Amino acid sequence: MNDAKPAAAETDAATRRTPASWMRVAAKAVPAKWVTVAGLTLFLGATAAFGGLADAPAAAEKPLARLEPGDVHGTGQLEVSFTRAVLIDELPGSGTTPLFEGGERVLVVTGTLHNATDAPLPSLSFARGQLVVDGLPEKRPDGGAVEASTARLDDATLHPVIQPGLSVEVAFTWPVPADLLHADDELHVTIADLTWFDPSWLSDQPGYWTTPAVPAAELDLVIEDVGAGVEEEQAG
Amino acid sequence: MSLSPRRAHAAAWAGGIVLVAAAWGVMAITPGDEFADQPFVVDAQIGEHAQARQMQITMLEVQKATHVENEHGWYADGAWVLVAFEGEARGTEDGSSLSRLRLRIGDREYLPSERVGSRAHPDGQLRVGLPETMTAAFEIDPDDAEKRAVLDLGHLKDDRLDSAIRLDIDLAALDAVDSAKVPDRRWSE
Repeated sequence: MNDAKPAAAETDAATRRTPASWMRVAAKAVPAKWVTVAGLTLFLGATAAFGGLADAPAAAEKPLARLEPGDVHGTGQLEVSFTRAVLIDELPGSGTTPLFEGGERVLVVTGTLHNATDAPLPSLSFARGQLVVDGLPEKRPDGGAVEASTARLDDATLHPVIQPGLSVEVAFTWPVPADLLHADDELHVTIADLTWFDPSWLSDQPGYWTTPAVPAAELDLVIEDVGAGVEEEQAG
Repeated sequence: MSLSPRRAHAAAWAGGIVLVAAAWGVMAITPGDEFADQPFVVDAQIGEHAQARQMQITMLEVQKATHVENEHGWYADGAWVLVAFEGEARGTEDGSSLSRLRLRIGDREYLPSERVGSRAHPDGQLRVGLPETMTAAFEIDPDDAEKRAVLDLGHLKDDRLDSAIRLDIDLAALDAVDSAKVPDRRWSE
């Protein structure tokens, strides 16, 4: 370019006079590709000077939070904690009726649910969608599905709705084969959080919690066996 | 008389800016989509009929209590708001169910407590010509017990383009009673 310049200056002396006119000539003479490559090189060089581009964060498996009995886990909606795991022959009022002929008993997990949102939340959908107890069979002896039931510990209201800002002690119950679990076994419980979906970039609808429920916390509860459970029947 | 080129230029710019500002103003005052869908609000007053499209509601009494009990031995402590009202369907029982019954306090929304039992719980169908008296018992966060609340009542969960009966309640103006009864839903006398 330096070679070309004097020649250009001879043909048109005015092109040299102002920076603007020089730029015009240069812009015509330099191919666009060079400008692009030079700009990119400058950008990458500058980036490298500051340590280069970082790797895109990998969608790493989030390690499960390890809870002790009584520890509180916030799902974003409910703040939950679990205290006891109990085996009992039957627990009337809990929503779970064991099939005695099928050799069933009732597994009870007690805990507290606190609603941290502004809208009522059903305890049953939490129990059936976000609470997983390892080792339970899928089917009952009569072919029905093994599903959780919930009941308040204080007045045995079945499948209570947790109103905003309130805490409720709840008994979660499942029908289990009598020989499946024993006293002093460890019951492994996983709590999953729903996913917050915010469609604000598509519409002016408010966001909401939806599936998938992603496992977020786990805890082990030592099982107590209370037999016929005369004490527990008061709670039910 | 004609403007100098310089003045004409300035006038064009000023005119352009005014038009942009006016366009922004029109955008700003244009109601959103939800405006066209908003419910027809019927303000209820204690002791007066409030008529919605499908139902007639008469608010009877609002109570605040720290202890409530039903007619079957159940009781509970806490912060409770009890709204007693009479309701009947208008003209037809089609679409007269009381599906929307909620208490709004600030951003929070409470549903009538199911703890009172199914016989006292106020949801369900209203009847033509047979008014029923019922009580909605809301168990609320004690922190909300001195705020303003709105009881919102209607036929569908979705209140768009439908009647919405609303009762303004100033909870701070109510004295909490030591014990309040949640009677079963019953035919009015």
